[in-house]
Amino acid sequence: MNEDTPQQDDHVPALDQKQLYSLRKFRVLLVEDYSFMADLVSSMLREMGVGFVKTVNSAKEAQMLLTQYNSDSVPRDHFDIVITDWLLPEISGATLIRWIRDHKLDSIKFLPIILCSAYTSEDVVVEGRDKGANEVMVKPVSAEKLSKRILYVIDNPRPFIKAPTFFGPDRRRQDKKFPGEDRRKIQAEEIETNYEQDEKET
Amino acid sequence: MATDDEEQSGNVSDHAPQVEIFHRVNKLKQKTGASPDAPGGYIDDRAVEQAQQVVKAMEKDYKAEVLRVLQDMDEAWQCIQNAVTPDETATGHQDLYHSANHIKDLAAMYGYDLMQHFARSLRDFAEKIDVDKPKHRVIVQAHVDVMWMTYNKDIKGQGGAAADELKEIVAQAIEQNF
Repeated sequence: MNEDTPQQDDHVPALDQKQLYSLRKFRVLLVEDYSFMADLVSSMLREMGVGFVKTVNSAKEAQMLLTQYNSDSVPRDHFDIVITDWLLPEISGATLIRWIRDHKLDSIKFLPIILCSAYTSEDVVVEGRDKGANEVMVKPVSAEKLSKRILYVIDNPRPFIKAPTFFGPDRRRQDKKFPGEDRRKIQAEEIETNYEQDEKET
Repeated sequence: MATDDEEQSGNVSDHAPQVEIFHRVNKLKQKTGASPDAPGGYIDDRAVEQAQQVVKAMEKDYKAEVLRVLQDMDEAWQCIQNAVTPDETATGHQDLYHSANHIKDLAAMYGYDLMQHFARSLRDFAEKIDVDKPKHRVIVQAHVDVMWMTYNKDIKGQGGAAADELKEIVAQAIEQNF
């Protein structure tokens, strides 16, 4: 799978309609056990203008920080995006993603997650999305890839799906009509849609 | 949005929906300062270029960093070979696997294709190693040796004829022993 191609929508706005995004208010939690790579990616994020980057080297530490910061009632202290490596010691990136998606707090379970994987096989990309990652970035990391993933989570906030065996961002990238017979087991009346109300930051 | 699942679904009866769809307010976009109605946005090209410069700037550290991780890898391999308890073996396995993976990432980033090739091969093999099988030890040792050779000869890219020779050493070790 070419990880860059399926992420383009049918409708791409003209460049002159696009707005310059400031990432100054973004708070990113980077989970990477390899210190060289952690330094590299965190420096890249800062150069892109991300206001706050916190690096941890284990999923356990990430869980502690998310529990500490995103449980707080002050949204401005919450982490906005988690970028995690797939291969982590003790607790894997996949387990961390499940922990986030299974969390009882909205401020944690709905966090956008960008998964970094050294594996390039389609299976890993699919597994990452099945675990609940919003985006998968295949290593080696480059500024272009990183900025594209960040832009994608800003511009394409897919709705979250809660199904008997899955909770996470909708894995379908495009809402296209399927010409064949509808063989889905769950019917429309069994689907409930919830809209979050906008609320001002305190 | 309601704060717990029961309120979110608004339905705790026997007919709870099988699938719920949550449309969230786009807080990330709000934080960018862009209008919520803007069709899309972009990150300043210069900032992205500066971020890429970080990658280039850290290339000067490549050799020293690979040397450090190769030494870690050697240590992990020694640990596996000398392990007495299952815990020691497991720790050595994990360290060997992660060291190989780190070298693969580094080499891939800076265009050391041959080193990337061996590191990936070792990482993948590390998942299957049975240290009680002498033949498996031969395969790992072959990887370790060629990675050191690749490092010492500072082979960048595919490496030409010299690289083919090293690849052959590993290919033969795998063919004859696995």
